[in-house]
Amino acid sequence: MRRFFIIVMTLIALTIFIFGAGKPQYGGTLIIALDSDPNGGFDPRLSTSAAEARVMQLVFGGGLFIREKDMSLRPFVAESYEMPDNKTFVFHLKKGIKFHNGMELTAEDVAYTYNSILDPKLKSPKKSGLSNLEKVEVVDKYTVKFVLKKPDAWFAQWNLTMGIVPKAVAEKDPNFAFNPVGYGPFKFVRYEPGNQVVLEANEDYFEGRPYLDKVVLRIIPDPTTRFAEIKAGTVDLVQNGISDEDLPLLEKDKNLVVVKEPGVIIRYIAFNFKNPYLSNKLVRQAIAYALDVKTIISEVFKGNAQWANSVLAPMIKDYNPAARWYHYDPELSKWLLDLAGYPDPDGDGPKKRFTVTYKCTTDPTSYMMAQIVQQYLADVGIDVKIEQYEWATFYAQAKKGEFDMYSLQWVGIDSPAIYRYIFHSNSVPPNGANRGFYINPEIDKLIEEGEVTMDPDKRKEIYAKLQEIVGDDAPYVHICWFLNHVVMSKKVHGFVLYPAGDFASIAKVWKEK
Amino acid sequence: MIRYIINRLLLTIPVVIAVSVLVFLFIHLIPGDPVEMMLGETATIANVEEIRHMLGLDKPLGIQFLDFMKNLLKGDLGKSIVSRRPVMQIVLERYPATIKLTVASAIVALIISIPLGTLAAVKHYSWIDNLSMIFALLGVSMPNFWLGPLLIILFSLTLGWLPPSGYGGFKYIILPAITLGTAMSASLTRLVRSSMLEVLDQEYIKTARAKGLRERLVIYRHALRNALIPVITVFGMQIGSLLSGALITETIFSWPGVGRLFIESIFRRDFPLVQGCVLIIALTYVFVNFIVDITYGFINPKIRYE
Repeated sequence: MRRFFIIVMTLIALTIFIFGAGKPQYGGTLIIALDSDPNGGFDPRLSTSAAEARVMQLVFGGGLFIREKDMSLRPFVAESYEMPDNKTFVFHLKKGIKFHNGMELTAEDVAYTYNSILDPKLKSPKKSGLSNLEKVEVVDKYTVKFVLKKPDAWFAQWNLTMGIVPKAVAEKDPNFAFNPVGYGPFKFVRYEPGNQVVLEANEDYFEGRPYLDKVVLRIIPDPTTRFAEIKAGTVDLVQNGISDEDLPLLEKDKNLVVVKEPGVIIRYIAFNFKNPYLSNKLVRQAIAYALDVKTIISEVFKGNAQWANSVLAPMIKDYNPAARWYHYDPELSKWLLDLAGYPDPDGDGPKKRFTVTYKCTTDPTSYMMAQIVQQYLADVGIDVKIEQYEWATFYAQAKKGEFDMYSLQWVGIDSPAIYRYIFHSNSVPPNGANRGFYINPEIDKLIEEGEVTMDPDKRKEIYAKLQEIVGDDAPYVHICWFLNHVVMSKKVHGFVLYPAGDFASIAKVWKEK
Repeated sequence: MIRYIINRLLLTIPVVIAVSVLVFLFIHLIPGDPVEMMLGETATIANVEEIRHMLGLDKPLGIQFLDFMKNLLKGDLGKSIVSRRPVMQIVLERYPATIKLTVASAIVALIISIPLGTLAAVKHYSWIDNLSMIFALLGVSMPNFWLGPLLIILFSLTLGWLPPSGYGGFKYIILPAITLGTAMSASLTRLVRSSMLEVLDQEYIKTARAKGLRERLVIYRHALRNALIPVITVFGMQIGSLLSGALITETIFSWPGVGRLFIESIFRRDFPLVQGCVLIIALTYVFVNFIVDITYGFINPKIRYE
């Protein structure tokens, strides 16, 4: 009997130990490394940098909608919404959501947030993003109506996930950006310029008090230092802040967990259609076939990316996997160049078919990629001159269309709305980001159609066709979609990597004591 | 002396004006637009022009410069384009960190260089002398971006004694101060040594010894004081340089000083902040040089300014 009792008690203790250890615990401070200083402040109406967005995701959580991991939108401060016509949104807000100062979030605050952005006095950089917004009206205390000038399938994605500011505070405090009052899982405590941002738990968070007591976001601009900090255990979590070369070292560390998942950052090479050689579709296709992208991914990005065939990543609903893939085929490339009217003058000799320039930044990874591209194109008889510039200079030239080829990446592409900026004929420099002067009336038509088509299935068909045409025309060589990574202490649980790097899951993160 | 001080202060004015003109021209002439940087890649020209107009960046360059100079005379350095906060406030916020690092690095440099340089001169051609010269050579040859991470690997990752980076208590300043102080002390050690050797060869030192003064007094009261004069000049220039921000060290150790602020504002093309940083840095250099010159008079009564 005594022996039986001991065995049962041991089994009970073991069960508690095994399953109790995995149970979320309240308390503790999570220290996150930020790679840049969020010195633009934390006013959702004004802030533009990624670092600021991360802090605001903790202080505000979301807006009328919040973006989920699968890139869909979920009503957040809104309980529900309807669209009486395709230009109007009517939101019914959740009751009882409290700002961190105790005041309730109402329709007045929502209307104020958006109307103040439209007010020239605020000088908000978000104003032009709301150019299609006719008006925002308060219907009653918990109902607000948005009326657009014309239908826009992407309006919610681009504009309605922004944090809502408290009217009573924001309109009186000129320093609101550095004393933000939100309603999210964490309250703003202080910002120490160049050093850190300190947040503490919001006990009254409407989606449930977070497990953590505090979150400290330390500003650590140097990637080697971030590596040292996570290795030393003085930082708990680093997202997308460790170099590709250093990640394998951290994967071997028993005190750390490294997670990698597909993201929505696309690396591409752009062509300038004003260059006489690159205006020829056969030449662009030839260049795409001449590049062994899989080797570029393994050598330059250490395998931390996936071969791409579109600007849209696979987790985006409108992605088309059937859009053209340019497999590595140097012989096909040479044949296309011959067909285009640019034969190799001396076969395997030193003379080249033609010369183009390739612009990149002084970033070592960018330069490495440039060198590899140069070598692959030399193999098919194209001479590439690499020109390196400091970022702002490079960017200024790219924006003006002053290049033959360049490589860059698009970050946070969560919908096909990007296509208007990068491929519509109205977006050629200086008007937009169609820097290569790619003009295709069929593409224009598909972009315009997609923007006003509210039926998701019909929209998917439109964008599928668009991606097929773009794949064939090759204004870009799509290189890869980068994997997001997070390195965290083994004591941290519950963090979820979002494709766009959102910090939404920190509300549910807990730390072992 | 008073007239000298007033003259030096008045000379500051043309220096400040010249620096203002130069930095204004340079920052506006280099490629890159702050509004484009702020709005990101999907901004249209209409977006950019609207914000440029709101921020007054579409005014002719001459008008922008006149506005800047008018405000400067009132002590107003304008507002940061990115944060919209007063430039003066932003720079002054970061100065305590820079001053702390400067003082700590200076202490490290002096603790190493004065005893080591003096000893090397007194024990000329001995193994101490040779060791000090090797140290000086290493110190001058080792770049901060190499020494800093090396110290982090040793003291943070391997021994776990100190944090890799950050700003706060005493433990955070040790590694950046050693990084900067070592580089400073290398050149100072050589200077102290050569200056001491010259002074120890002077007649008055021989006289002091002949009179029977203790060697310690001869070295520290009579020789070192005069040997330090050229050292003060170089030391002053190094302090001036540190007070304008040690960019590489601040970045490696996540130290929130003026150096990092300066380079970040250049990358973001935050014109008013760049101008403000340069002006304050220029004034710092002028002030430090001024203090160095005044200090000569106290160190050596033979040097006076009429």
